[in-house]
Amino acid sequence: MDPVGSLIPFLIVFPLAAGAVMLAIRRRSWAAWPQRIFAAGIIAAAVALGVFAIGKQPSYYDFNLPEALRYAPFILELMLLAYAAWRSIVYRKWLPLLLLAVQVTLVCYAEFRLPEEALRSRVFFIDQLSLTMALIIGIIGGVIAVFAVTYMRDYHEHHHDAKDRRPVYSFLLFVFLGSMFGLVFSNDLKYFGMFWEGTTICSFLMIGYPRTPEPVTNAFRALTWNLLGGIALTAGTVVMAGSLHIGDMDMLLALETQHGLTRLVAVLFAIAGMVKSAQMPFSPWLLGAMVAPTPTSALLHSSTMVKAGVYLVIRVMPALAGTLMANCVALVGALTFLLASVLAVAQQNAKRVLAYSTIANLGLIVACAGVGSFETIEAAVLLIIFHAVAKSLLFLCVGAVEHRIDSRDIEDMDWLIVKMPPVAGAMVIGIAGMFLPPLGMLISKWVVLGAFVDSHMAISPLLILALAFGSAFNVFFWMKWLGKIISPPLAQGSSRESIPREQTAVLWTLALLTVATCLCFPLISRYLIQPFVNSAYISKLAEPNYVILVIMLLIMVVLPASLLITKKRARRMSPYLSGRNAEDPIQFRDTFNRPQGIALKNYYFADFIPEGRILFWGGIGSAVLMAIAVLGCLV
Amino acid sequence: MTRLVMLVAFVVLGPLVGGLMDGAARVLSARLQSRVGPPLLQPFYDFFKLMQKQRALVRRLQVLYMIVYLLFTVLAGALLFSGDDILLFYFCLTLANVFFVLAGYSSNSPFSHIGAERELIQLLSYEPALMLIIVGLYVASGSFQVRQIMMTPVPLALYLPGCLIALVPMILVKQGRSPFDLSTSHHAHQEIVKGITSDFSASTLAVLELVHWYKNCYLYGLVALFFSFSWWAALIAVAAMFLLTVLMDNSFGRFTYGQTLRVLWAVTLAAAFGNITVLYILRFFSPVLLKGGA
Repeated sequence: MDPVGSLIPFLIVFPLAAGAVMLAIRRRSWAAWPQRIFAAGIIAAAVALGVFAIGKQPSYYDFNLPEALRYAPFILELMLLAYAAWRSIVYRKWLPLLLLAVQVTLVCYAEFRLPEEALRSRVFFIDQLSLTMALIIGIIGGVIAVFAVTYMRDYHEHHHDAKDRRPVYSFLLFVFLGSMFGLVFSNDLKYFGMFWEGTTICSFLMIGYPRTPEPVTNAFRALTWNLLGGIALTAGTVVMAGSLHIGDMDMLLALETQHGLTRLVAVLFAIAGMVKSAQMPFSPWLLGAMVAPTPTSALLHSSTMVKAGVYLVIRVMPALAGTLMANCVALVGALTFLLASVLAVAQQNAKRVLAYSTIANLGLIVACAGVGSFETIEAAVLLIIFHAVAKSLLFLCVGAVEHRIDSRDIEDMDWLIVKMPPVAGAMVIGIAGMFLPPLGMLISKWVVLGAFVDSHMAISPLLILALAFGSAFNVFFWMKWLGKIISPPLAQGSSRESIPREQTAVLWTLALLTVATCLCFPLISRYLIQPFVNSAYISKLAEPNYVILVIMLLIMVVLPASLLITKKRARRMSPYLSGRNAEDPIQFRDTFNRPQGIALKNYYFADFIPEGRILFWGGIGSAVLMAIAVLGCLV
Repeated sequence: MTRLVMLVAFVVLGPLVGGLMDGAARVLSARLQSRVGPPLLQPFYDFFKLMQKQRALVRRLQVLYMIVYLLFTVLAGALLFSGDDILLFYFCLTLANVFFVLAGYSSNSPFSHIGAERELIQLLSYEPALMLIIVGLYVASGSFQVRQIMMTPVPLALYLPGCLIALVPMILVKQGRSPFDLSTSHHAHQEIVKGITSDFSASTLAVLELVHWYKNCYLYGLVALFFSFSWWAALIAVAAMFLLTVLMDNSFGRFTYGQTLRVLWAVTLAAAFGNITVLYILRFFSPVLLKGGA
């Protein structure tokens, strides 16, 4: 028996079953170990899949599903939508309800009005891109599920207004993982659509988990936007099945791409993907989603669910290669990357910085997918991998810190490196991983730049411009944060805080993964990405560069270590305070000789960066580009 | 082999040349201001005096950060002069700067802190320009490898006048010269004491001097790259750029960070981005014209 063929259904069904078990365990003290064990099971299965499927050709699986299951995806999707509709009625939210009605109509139309043969298909498949996604979902998702055990316990100690519904949380967490696995393995668009809606509903319920007013509002905002994406997806499916008589994703790419309808389907799918990836003008939902407990943000809103969006964009873009629509998609991505990077500078709330940075990086991936050359696809997949690891690490760090200092404000994080060394250390690695050479994201950006300059498109200079300015803003806001962590405290006697050992272990697992993925990137590129991009394609990052990157890493690692060994004597001074230092080294004497404290704050340029206006005009710009793309197909 | 020679020459002779240029700039500035000024070798006297001074530290980590700053600056310059990948040079430079900023942050003197913030603003001001300049070099020469860019038979300055212009304010920012000496001035005067370097002393400051000399080398090295078709042209261009920067330094007051960002970005957009756009259009009409004429 082909191990891959049995691991795929296992990865989809096992998390769902695990979720059901977690829902059934009502006693809190009994729930911790099952959750850890289920998480370990998922990680193990994902790794096993990686071992068996790496470097293989794409393969398809039907699993000889019984005829009785023929309507299963349809019925399940309707049930999901019905549940969302019920929640909308309970909270009196009419816009989502309206969108749900449209969605249900489209789904029913696709099911009943379309010819039977259009929907017969090869249901599941795996290639190197779905494998990459599955590894991310399995490993990072599993690790986050472990983290969530202790985190949610602390969460309810800090948030007394939120009702303790931890079994539901665990249930949603596992169901979400199952849906994500289903999504990346689905070839049949009916299954794909069902799992797509599954992630939307999970995200909706997990954002609204505390059931207090703000999360509920934001949950419905996320639902509304994502339903729009779902409608675009279903509309694409309807066009595909109704006019082109196909129901599979791989068939779309096999079609004649000159056909206007083929392009329309691809554009609709790309728009669905961009909604899920919170590209402008759809970004607000992701920002609102940050009110959710941190494991949710780490899992859904940075490493996996939003990646499902770019996954879909990457999948369908070959159908648009080199067209006006592809240019539009690339520009939307570039615009989002630039503006979200600018907006991140003005954020003081750590989770909002992470959210904007996530939107920016997803934008870069979309831009790469839009350009669609071998190099940019390589860059896009590298970005997906590196970003998932480093960003989930950062989210979890912020979550761990938040429960100890009762703040997610970056200005409150000074001297973290001494207050909570293990967490701060992991955070430094995460931040470095996001923008510093020689770590992951920088390597990807390098590939992106190389690819953009070689792309012979009319918009190439614009893409390069967005990359140049966006990257500079990235350096700016990450460095501010990094500086804050290592800044000495202004008040004496800052106490040490500690977090549960299990959380530290999770953080350092991800930190090591951040460094390891960077060291292994030639392997990742060779075995995961090249087979997907094109077997004949050879990455441009040649070995000499790799050697220099390793040298850079060594300098950064070895030197701090040398400091620990050599302790040279030097006179210790208090910092310079215009020569008016008081006895306390961080106070100075004012004109009346009274001791005064000092305050150090970072620049946020809130006056120069009007968040609302940038989001509005950026959104208008992107919406226009998307409209051009859609109209371009119809003309 | 030549690459190795160039590498060693840069690491060994770099500080000598850079220090002499620094001394010459000070002499020239003094003449412009009708002062007698220091002797040509003053930077070296300063350096050795700083090395002998007793070390006084606010935080021990500062020393480490400054040493890493020096190492990465040398590595960046070495990559440039040995003809390696110019993007690696760029990334190394960013990394070097990151450690300089961290050195500023690691003291809690407000002067040092605000200096660090301003250093970041400077980074924000010139990084896009540098990336676009590098892209310009690539588009005109067809390679990111410095040794291949140098071999381009056509005069790059002719294809990249905008990028060359964008290089001028960048050099001023990197050298800490007016009007862009926000984070710390290379002169004695500064409204925030010595900015990011307020809490540095003795050998830490000496390291900074050393970095400054290496910096001179790679900055003017970049200028020379535009004129690599002839040694004489490169020398003349470097001399002209040197005079221009000293003149600018003496004729402007310090800009605020808002002014700095606006000027740098305006130049980046108008000159560097405009240049690249024109190159792409040229390449579109005549693919043979570029790619290093090959």
